[in-house]
Amino acid sequence: MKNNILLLLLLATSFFACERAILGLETENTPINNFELFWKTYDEHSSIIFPKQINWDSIYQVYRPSVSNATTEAELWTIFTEMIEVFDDEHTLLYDPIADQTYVSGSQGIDIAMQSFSKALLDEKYLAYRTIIETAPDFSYGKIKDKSIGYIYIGDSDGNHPEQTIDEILEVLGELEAIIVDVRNNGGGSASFMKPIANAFATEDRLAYTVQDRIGINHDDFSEPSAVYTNYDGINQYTKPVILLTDRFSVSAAEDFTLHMKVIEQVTHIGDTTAGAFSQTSPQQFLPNGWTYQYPVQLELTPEGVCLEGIGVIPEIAVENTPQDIENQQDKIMERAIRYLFETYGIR
Amino acid sequence: MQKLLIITTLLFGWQLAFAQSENEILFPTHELTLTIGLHQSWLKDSNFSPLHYKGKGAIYGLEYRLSDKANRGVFLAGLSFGTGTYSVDISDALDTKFILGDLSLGYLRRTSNLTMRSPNFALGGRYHFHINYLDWNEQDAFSFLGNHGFELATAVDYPLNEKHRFQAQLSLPLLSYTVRPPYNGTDAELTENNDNSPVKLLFDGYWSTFNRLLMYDLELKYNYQLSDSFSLDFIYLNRYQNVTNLHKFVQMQNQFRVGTSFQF
Repeated sequence: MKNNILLLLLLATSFFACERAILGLETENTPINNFELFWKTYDEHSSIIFPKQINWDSIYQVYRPSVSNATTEAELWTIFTEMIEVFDDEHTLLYDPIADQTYVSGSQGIDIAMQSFSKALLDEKYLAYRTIIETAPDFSYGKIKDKSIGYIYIGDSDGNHPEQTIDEILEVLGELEAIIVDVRNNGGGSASFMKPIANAFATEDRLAYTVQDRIGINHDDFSEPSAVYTNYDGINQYTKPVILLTDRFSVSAAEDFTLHMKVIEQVTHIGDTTAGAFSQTSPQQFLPNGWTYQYPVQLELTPEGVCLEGIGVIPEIAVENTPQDIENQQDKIMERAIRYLFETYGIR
Repeated sequence: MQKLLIITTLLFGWQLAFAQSENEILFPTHELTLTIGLHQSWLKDSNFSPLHYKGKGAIYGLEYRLSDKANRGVFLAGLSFGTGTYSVDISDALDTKFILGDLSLGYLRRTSNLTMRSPNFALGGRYHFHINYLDWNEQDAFSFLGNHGFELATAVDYPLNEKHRFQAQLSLPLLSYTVRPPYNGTDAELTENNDNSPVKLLFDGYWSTFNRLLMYDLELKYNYQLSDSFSLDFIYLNRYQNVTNLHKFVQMQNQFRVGTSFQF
């Protein structure tokens, strides 16, 4: 019996010495292994290779020869960033958590968009007042100076109690003749936070967009479409004229919001085209060298079946601010919205 | 290698079962055990990362045992909860938090009345829910394994004398309902509708047997009787999990716990 107990204890302690036997071989951290895994994961998982008709195989052919096990980390970083630039998509990212550096595909327009918008200018020149909403990181409302026009700014698509918040805002602004909803410089967040806000302006249920998840290794392996509606919720509805403002830095959930608003009859979309990054992103993926990366995982289509990834939502009235405009104390997009409300509805 | 370990353990359990003693002893009807301890593990979850992770952390457990009057049947209920950190060799920046939890309900039937200085074998089954959730950098990356296992359980109870007792239990799921992340690691509907997340994490899975899931729990327990009602327990648990469906998940975990049992 003692022998049996000893055998059992021996068996138990032997478990400590067999990591490799249990887990198998770990992918070795070499530039070639990192490259192969990086390329293959995008090939098998990114949802925008198919709609954007990207020849990802050709990217392999172009860049693979330049990678050897003598390739430095800096060289590999450059190669990877060049590879993913072909996606032109803000949801395609490369991140080095060790060196704390990030590369976002297709982000060149964002820097300019950030400089072409100023909340301070809005406060000084265009708004009579601004009230900050405490339940969300960047949510406020106010009124345009000397006009019967309300103003709602949503700079972050996250927060709590969106239904309650928008109802409370509309109780204040509901008597005004029009409202400008501004999602410029909104870097995204949760579509489920934004949808109830759009619902407050709806007059009926309407299809806003469809969503499909990538579910297989072929570029066109997608799940059945799932319909997403803008819904009439019947509580404190605002059905007078509404202007939606966007810019190049209206991204992701802000773009879903734009699609929700576009199907509402009394909404007019003014400003610059949105970023063109609709899909949800994957969780961060890891490489053997510790870098992480992300990619979009969905195919999102308008009610007409058009994929706007990389294109963005084009406004009905296209107006663009430049950094110089802001420096000159002029928000052309805001001014065009105010002028449109006057010219179209006679709202002063 | 893994299969060999399981077979060896099973054979060992059967060998103990055939050695019977004649000195039957009484056994408390109710036993409540509270434990605290440490665990270490090795993990590879291909949904999460190609890297191999080493984990360590703390674990807390609560177990209740009910023996029937004839001392032949034992009902077991167990609950444990652990937290910890997985780490990799290349950088601390990739440290990943995790939580694990277990809930089990089982029944074991002894082949004979419990006797002193002799191995007493029992056979039965248990329902065992296990969850392991990994989270890097506040959900920038995450993965999980949830498993509802319907397990075959074998146990050996060896009272060495009135003070010392040794117990071992091996459990193997014969049929499981396994919950793992979908193809692209994230369920868009789930992340957009957080209200449903816990339910989906628990029940949006698939049925699996040995073809897609291999697991065992081997628990060794030494029990020192402090008084008529209290004992001191030292527990070692070795757990192996190998899920080979869409994303491979392999984990070996060792738990060391100390605790006290109240018998009444």
